Amino acid sequence: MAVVARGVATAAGLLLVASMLVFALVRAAPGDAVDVEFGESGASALLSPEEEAVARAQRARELGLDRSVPEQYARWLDRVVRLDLGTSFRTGRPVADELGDRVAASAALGGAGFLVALTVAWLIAALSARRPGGLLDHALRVLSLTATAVPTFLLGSLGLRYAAEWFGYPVAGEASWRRLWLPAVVLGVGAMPVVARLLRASLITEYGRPYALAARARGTSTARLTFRHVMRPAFAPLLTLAGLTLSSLVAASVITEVIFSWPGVSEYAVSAISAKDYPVVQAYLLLVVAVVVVVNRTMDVLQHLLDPRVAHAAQVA
Amino acid sequence: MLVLAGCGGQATAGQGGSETLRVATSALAASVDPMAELSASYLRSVGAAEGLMRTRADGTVAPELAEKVEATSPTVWTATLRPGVTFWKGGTVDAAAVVASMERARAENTLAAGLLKDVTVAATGDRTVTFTTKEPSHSLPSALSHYQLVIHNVASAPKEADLTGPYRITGFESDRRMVLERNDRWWGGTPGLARVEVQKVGDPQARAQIALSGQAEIVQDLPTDRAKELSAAPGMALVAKPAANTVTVYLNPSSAAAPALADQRVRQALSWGVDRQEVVDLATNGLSVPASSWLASNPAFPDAAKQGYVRFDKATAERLLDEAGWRVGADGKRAKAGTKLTLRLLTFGAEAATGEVLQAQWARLGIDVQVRNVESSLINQSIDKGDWDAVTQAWTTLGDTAKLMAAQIGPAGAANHGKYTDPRIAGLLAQAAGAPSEDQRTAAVYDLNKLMVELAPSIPVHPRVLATGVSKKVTGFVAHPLQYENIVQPTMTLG
Repeated sequence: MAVVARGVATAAGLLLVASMLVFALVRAAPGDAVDVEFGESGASALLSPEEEAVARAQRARELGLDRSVPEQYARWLDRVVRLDLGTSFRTGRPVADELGDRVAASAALGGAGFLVALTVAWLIAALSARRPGGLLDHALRVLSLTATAVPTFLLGSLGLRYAAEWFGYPVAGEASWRRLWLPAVVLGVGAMPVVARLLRASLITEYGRPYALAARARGTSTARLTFRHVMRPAFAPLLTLAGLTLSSLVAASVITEVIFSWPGVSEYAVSAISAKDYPVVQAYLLLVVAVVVVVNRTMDVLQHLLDPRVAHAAQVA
Repeated sequence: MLVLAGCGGQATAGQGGSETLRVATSALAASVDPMAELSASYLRSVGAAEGLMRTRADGTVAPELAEKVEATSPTVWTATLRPGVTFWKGGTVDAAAVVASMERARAENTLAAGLLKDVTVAATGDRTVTFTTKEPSHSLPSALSHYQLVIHNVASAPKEADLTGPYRITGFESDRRMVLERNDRWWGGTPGLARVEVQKVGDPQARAQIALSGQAEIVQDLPTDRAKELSAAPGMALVAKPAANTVTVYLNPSSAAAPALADQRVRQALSWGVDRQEVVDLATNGLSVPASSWLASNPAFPDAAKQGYVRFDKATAERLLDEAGWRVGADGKRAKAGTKLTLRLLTFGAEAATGEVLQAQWARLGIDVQVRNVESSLINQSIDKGDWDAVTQAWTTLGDTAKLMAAQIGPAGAANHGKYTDPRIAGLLAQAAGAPSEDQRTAAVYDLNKLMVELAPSIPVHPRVLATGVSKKVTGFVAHPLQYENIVQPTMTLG
């Protein structure tokens, strides 16, 4: 219970600091929503400089951009703690509604990508760890390195091209199971190598421990040894990395969501960033931070449950 | 008396089909309220909004919801509305509705306010609207054709969209997807399609894939680097139309970092030293055309393509640079009094490719150019601070030409970034806007364009490209130099 309470307090503190950073970073970028609007509309060509200045000031007032940055932050934070993320400059709709429409799609994609990453990483790690330094281990290492080296945009574009051509994969459209598999594979393949390398090392370490050697001496098969004895302790050091991977896949799959026109939060944020739609960008970044914090806190708790040594160390501390 | 009348500017639609047209676009409306930023342009582009006038593909304007628009005195234009026009939900588009629409536009949208500046709008009959201008104005019909002045039902705004047009919106997801169905009440007859589904696809390569796999009948804004593959694809045609804007390199004569730009000869040399055909071939895969002068991308002024830098003339460029004292040194670079001839060029978006080709071409003249592709807001910020040498922008050339040219070269012009002045400008701008005869106004516009060539405040290069993939099943697609007129037309059918 104390662990959970401490975790919540730490998370709240982190979110507050992050909110300040997010707000400051978003405002530090050159230009603002008024600049974008005037630049895009071409209104400048029809107005005298004086008229344009008046119109810009009026628009800035409407958007609340005429106030000082600390005042804007205080007003924004006041709303955010009441779960009001503000109104999009562009659409005039509540940001919470717009993000809400897209969170499920991002969660589905991130979750599916994570499953792909874990499954493939587990397969590769398990096969590699059976005979470290062997031919298969080398081949799988090359495969992992290749997957690391290929940028997501290239893998995504190539995947899209051939899937559309060969299987009639729908390039754009709603979030659906029919469309999910390809971006999930692209995300999963991108995230897999780090997980696979760490899991391989962890498995090799566990295979070499006395309990595993004793089990082998008793004639336990490799499959039984792996699943029954080794897998759980081998996964424990992986939890932090898995947490980071999951949170980045869920909340920050920008390139994949854009390439696959996946209607998630990252794709939404990209449009908002170019339009300097501050309420949306701030809400998105805050969401990313919140997801990272929540997932990592959850992983901490899981680590306590999975590995009694961690709980014991915490109690001693 | 000038009267603009006709059969509507749009061909009347005929027998409606039952097909669904699928459209993939690079951008989509964030709101269905036409007064929201850029929304009206997207609505118009998919046949969901109309104005009193519209711009035709040749750059001229024609009546749309208006039956005719006539100048009844130098300061009064009278629009007579078509009979029997209704909004999607059945409300009558009468003079009162038009005035309400115009006034809401003026109050809620800066661009509309600019278009209606010093214009009083009044209903003078059920179907008659008068536009009274402060000064004699010849450009009002052009303003009325602007997408920002589309007619909408103010009683429903902003919560619900109730406009006119061959297609009405039945489904909408902000910035993602729009579904439209045939508007059976449309004044022009039965639109050719039963349904239109518009999907935003932000990634250009994904749009190309949609076109190649036949997953949409119209795909807008295709990447020019895949022009060859797209042109060869069976079942579709790549329709490339130069847009009515000119990608232009604006030059800063007050730059401390590039003092050479203060010399008109250097600016002219930079322009003569551009092989525009090569730029078009390399940067747009041959889909655009060279622009020898700023106005060259305006189809209503065809002779502008014969003005200015009509050929690549390296010899003239070298001579002008030599005359200005920037001579080639042993290292092949030009310098004057120990200072190298260099400049920083900021580009935006797809103009990065144009910037790189220019860099290579100017390097052949002995000029060092650093190119950086940045966000447009960074370009604006650099201009505001005065910390810039050269930037690319592409302002529209089609519309109220006198105002657009005033923006380029007028003393307070929004695109006159270098604050260029010349005693001839004011007189020519006044002539272009207010000369009594159209011939005189046209001549003044051409003279202004020529003056821009001489002063060389900027270097016109080429129009942007509107590259659209059109399925061979589609009939009635008309390529238009304005992007917002370039997608769904009422006569379009699927064969």
